[in-house]
Amino acid sequence: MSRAADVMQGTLDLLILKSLSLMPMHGWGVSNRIQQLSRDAFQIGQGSLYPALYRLEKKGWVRSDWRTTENNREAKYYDLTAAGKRALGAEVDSWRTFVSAVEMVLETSA
Amino acid sequence: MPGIRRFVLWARALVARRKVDEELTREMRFHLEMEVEKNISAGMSPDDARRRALVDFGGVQRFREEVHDERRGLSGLGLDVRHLVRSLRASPLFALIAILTIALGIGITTAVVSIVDHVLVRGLPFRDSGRLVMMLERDEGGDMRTPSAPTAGDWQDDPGVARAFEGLTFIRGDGMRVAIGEATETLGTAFVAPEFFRLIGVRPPHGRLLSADDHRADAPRVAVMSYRIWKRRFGADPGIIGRTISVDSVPTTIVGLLPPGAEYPGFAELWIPVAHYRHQQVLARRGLHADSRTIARLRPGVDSASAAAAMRDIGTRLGTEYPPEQGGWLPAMQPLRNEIIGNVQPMLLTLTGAAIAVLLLVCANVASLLLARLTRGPVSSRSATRSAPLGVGSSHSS
Repeated sequence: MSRAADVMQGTLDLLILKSLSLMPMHGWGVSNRIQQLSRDAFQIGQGSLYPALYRLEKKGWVRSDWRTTENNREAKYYDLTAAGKRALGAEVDSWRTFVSAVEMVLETSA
Repeated sequence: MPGIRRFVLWARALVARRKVDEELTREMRFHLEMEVEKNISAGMSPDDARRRALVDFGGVQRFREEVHDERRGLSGLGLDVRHLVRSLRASPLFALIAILTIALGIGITTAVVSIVDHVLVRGLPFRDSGRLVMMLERDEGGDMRTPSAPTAGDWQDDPGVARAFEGLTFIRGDGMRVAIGEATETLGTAFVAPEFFRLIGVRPPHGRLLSADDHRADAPRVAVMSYRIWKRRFGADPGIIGRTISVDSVPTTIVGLLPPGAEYPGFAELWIPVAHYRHQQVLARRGLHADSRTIARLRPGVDSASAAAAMRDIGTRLGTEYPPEQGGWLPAMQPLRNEIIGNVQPMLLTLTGAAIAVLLLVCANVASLLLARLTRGPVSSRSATRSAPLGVGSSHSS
């Protein structure tokens, strides 16, 4: 069962970066992993996934190359670059800052 | 060699583009297959699995195109143009209909505008033809008549008239028997005053126009000929200049031609000095004078209303001086163009408005057709709701 949740574009980058930091993966693998890790909260379709990957590659945060999967098929694998690892750290920090700021406001409202 | 180098770069870009395209295709196909497998192992039938997987495919095609375009460095207008060309190529019938519709609208508008331009804007082949007016007289009942030669003469001498007009001239029309080869024909002839050709402002394509000397009563008989009669009855003979023909039994030398379309008055094929007109007593009579024209050229910045006002004084004065012939008749005027083609201005302006309306309708039509196509979009709208939650957005903004 899927549940739609509104997340912004920057957050998608964050999820992808995190997912790739665990292990290099092809596009489908990334979306599948995010779905699993989020317990089905996030279902990322090709229409969002690949533009995001392309964007990250253009920024120099990921690189790609073609490899063979375990089932002997050709797939394009993505991997974090050094810049990408640094970017992941920065993104996580700004996310946490954002979340705690929202929490602060929510706690004080009557 | 610069040509070769450019060709190599272009060929390389073409190959690179195809490579990028292929790669994307392979990547998407892999993703699709993995998705189908996942659906099958989740318990769906192969058909359902495939259909479900394809639903997600929505924004991908657009993404692929955008990747291509970004790699080629296009953005903004260039991007939109390429999108347009691509989608039109995908449905040639629609493209054909749209193009034909627009062509129709443009064709109609162009035809109408060119007519209007020719008739209203360009007008007669005279210098600044918009300022030429035909002088008339009008009584209290609204009847119009052409003024006589003496009246025109009085007008010419009046300072009020001189303020409004650069010049004013009288033309007497008559039919002259002219021998052309074996036959004799009656040709319309305009007997004109010395200032006539200068007033209308025209240049002869061949020969010359009447000069001041030609207008002397004892001068040799000469005439200017119309272009159309020269072509029609004189075989466009280049030797026409200097040739002598018999006009009303008087040997007359043709000294020049008027340019095509410059026949004023419309009936005239020959222009002869009025001093050589046989029936001078007609020209001395006051009152109504049929077979005549009086034309004038407005000064720059003067419109017909203020010109008519300037002439009111002389008009009333002549009315009191010559009550039977001039009593109650005041000067009036009409643009020369109206005499020649009638008052087509309102009709032509309406036609222009209609043509523009047609063009606007055509554009609105095509625009709405395009919009309908766009909102229908690729595949289905369900893909939009699925990919929306994680912020698809067009990568135009990025």
